[in-house]
Amino acid sequence: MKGLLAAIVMFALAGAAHAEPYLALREGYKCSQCHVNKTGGGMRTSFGSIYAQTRLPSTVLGAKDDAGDSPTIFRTAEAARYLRSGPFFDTWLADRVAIGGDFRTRYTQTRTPQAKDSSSFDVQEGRAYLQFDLVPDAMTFYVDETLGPGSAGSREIFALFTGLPYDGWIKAGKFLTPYGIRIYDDTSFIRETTGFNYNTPDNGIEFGFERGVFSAALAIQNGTAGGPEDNQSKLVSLVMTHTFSDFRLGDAVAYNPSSTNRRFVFGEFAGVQLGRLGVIAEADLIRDENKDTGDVKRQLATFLETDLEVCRGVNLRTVIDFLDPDKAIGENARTRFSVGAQWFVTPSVELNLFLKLNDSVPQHPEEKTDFLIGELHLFF
Amino acid sequence: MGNRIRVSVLLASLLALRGAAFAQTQEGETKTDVQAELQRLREELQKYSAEVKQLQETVAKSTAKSDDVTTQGRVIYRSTCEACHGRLGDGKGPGSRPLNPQPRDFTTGNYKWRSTPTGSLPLDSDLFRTVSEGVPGTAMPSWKKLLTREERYAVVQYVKLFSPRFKDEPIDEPIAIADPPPRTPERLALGRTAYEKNKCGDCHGTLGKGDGPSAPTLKDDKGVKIEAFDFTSGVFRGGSSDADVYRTFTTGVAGTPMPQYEDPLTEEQRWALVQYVKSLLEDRGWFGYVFRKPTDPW
Repeated sequence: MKGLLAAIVMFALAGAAHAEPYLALREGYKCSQCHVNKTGGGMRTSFGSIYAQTRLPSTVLGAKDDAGDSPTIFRTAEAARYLRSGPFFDTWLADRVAIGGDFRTRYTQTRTPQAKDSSSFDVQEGRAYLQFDLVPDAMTFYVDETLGPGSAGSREIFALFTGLPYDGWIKAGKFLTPYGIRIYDDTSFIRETTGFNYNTPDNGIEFGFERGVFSAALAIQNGTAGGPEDNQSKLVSLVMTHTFSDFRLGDAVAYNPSSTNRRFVFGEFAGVQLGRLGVIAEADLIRDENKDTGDVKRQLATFLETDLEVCRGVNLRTVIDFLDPDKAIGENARTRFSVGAQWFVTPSVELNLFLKLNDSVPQHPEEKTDFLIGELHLFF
Repeated sequence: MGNRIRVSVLLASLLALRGAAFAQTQEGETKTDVQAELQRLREELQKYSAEVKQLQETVAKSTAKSDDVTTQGRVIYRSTCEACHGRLGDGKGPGSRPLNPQPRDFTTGNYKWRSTPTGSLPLDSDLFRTVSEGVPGTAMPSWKKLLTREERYAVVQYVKLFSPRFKDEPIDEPIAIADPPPRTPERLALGRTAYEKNKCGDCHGTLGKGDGPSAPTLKDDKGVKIEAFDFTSGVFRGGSSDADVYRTFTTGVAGTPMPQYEDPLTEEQRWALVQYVKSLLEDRGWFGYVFRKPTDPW
């Protein structure tokens, strides 16, 4: 029973994949190149959609025979607007309205010490996006809606004002806190421990700009991870990045006082691309101070990812996660080694196979659970 | 999970990597057949010319008007081209900023990859070919699998509307490409002499790696910094066959510092130069495969 409980807990923590910063690193792009949300994740821009359908997949299934002698049909002007013959998927429903979506389902096999192995099928994510350009290149209404599993709700919903001086923007509403690398895996210690991940969008306002290789985003949010505000203090976070064609370097800092606690988080991140091989790293220091007792707890979380584009559409990934949950206590570190492959079979279809090997102290066997994950991801 | 799984995953990764590198090498070897390359290019050009001609005839016969074709082209352009080339066709789309080279500015009517002489507008089949095949080593994807022939033809017709030159100027006849001469050591030496005499190394470097002394100063006609082409990569943006490279030497690359060499070099010298720059290709094995960016078209 204990093992089963541990497996369920760890399975819930296995998390879903959401964004792929290694692709931005590979091409030398900023997050805003491929995502409507300037700080990354969620709905893809027109460029991102084209990239996903041309550069990313191994092949194009359902392509028309280029050399074939199918009847040539030119549509009338009106018909051309609605009828498309080629396999290219256009996300724009109208001149100012675009849609998108993500669907993930996976098979997971778990192995926990002192417990029986288990396995299950599960829907990880059903998500729909809507982008409505109220004023082209100036004002956008954006919705990132969770359709399932579980209850429906908005992960992000905000108004985005762009075209400000220095390519600046203002975002107001509910959105993901800008901090560090918005990596694909919420269960990574750098995202789980800092608390800045896809499960913790918050209400507030964000200011940002992109100037040449430099970009920065400053957000002021409630600091309650989307829950009701319980004090007058606010979460302030700042992320700054230098993005070059084969290299990027960034700093992130966040301060979140609550009625009982003060949390200060500081992180450094970097990425290097060497041909087909990309390396991404981040290190975060988390300092929690109890206001009543004055006790201070310090944590260290690090992340190192390598991605190798073996051939068109196939990526091999290794990840090493490290967490020291309390620097005052020795021999309590947790580590995770992940290895796997991503295959973008055809536009909108991705298959993932990952092995996650966890290690921790013997007192917490549930933290030593290993996972074998096979995932199907449909997206547009 | 056990060591067996870890070892299996590692071995599978190495095998996949080696297989991909082997496939790349095999591809490189087959491309050395000059006659086959020329034949392929001719067939490709003939195919595109024939397709464009057929499409033009179909438009003339069909109930759809030319306005309908360009309207269809506009719909396609909106979803597939505008992100980089911009709503106004000026190459300033929202996704254009980090791209190098920058997307083409259609308003000027200057096109890099043409079969027509320097300064001339391109043929429809030139544009149709670029849309279909993409431009290797750049963000311009190949659309031949994602768009139908009709859609690609329609978008070519729409793109031409951005420049008034297509209305006002006649288009010159395409240049003739004769059979390439056989590869000989003498011709290779002649090509090397032409490379040195015409100071190709100033931009492309002595060994053709794109690292010549002038390379850091190169800019396109918009003043944007561009890179000198690296001949050792073996993948040429205007097409990698001998005839493709010959055509590029003959017509130049519009909008860049790369001039045409039809005047300063004889036909024999241009073929020799083609053979020389293609001899600069380096086979770096699996190390080169991993640590060099892929240059195949999107």
